[in-house]
Amino acid sequence: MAFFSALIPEDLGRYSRLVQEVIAVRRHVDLLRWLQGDVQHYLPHEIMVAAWGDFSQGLIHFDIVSALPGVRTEHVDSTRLAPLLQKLFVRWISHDKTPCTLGAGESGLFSSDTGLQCALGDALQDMRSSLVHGISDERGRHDCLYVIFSSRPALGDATRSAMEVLLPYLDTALRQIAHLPRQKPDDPPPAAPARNGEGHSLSSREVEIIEWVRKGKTNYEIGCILDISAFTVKNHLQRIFKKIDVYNRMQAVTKFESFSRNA
Amino acid sequence: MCMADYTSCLFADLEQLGSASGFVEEIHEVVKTLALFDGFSRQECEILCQYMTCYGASSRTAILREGDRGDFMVIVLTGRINVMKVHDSATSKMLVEIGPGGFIGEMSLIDGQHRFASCISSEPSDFAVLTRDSLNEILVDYPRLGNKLLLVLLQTMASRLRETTTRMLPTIVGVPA
Repeated sequence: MAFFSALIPEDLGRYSRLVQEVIAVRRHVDLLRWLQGDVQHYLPHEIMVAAWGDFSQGLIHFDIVSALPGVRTEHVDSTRLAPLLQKLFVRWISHDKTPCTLGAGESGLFSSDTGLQCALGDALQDMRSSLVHGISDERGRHDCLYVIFSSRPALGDATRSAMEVLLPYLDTALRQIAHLPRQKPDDPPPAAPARNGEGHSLSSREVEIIEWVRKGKTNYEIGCILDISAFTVKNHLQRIFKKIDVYNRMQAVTKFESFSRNA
Repeated sequence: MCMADYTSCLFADLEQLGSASGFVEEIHEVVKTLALFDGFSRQECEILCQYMTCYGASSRTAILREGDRGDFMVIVLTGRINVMKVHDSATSKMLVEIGPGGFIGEMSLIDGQHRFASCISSEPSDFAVLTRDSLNEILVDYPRLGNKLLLVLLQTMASRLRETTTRMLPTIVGVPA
């Protein structure tokens, strides 16, 4: 294989370090450090996209590893990126499942009309070349695709050869990392609970429930009065306890009464 | 739009109970009785709950409406849900009552077609919602668990088909059940 025949003694040491480091990868940040370290010597890139799932069904998940500001998995709309990755997978299959390099304008990901309205979309417009390689899972239908994007004008044979050698390590490392939180590009940051004029953040429904608790009603009785289940009452009470920082009904009533006195 | 936002819009008038991850014990209690496939372990339940959202309904609340399009199913956690079919323009006929652990809406989850019947709570009820998008995510993230869930759905639908056919045979073809 061209990769190994081209290694000089200094490279052997570097390669050995690479393998030792990737074996220890357990977190997403470990993988980022590995890819931004000596790997850059063999696979120069700014962005790596790892995708997996059933590409034939379009059931694709992905993970983005990049040091570029804002280029993060959770900021990307999966409905925009998944079809683009599906096309790259088909391209890779048609390339006999060997590493294939693509210039700007070939992959469909560098243009401004990808619909990727996020930091990734902006960053991709500065990229000039990409390399695609993957694993076609003949047993479990859990195919994988790895795409690196580089600002270099072209990625040559040496990079393709390096990708063939390093892909198994990259794939193993990724499988050992816990899933990132489910991709929700439009999730707003959690808002701090607003306090009303009485000094607490309880909703009108929660106030209604705590009033009945104050009158000595059980969850079942409160459910009958409000035409909701005891399960729902219990759920509301758990939320009330968290909001006003108490552990039981008696504490909740005492604290609620103090809010009312201080209002 | 993420799953919780989509179903929150559909059930805007109901009690929003949040992610099913907050009710793993309760949900495990109802689903572990599905004997045919040894039920679901607590760990499997915990995973499934990450993909569902819970709601609470008062009595006489329509959870599903006949004729509506839908791509989600409902797992009943507490209470009772009546499955009603329009009989003529003025009345509806109750087909079956579903209690805790039962499913409703699974046909539309699978085929995306219009709701076959309306499902109305006969008493205050709570339920968990699973959308088709979430089911696809489970199949990718946890294939074995996703297949187990599909088998349970298939079992439910096969049982209903068998029951319906048994009841209909004497009427349609004169063959005794």
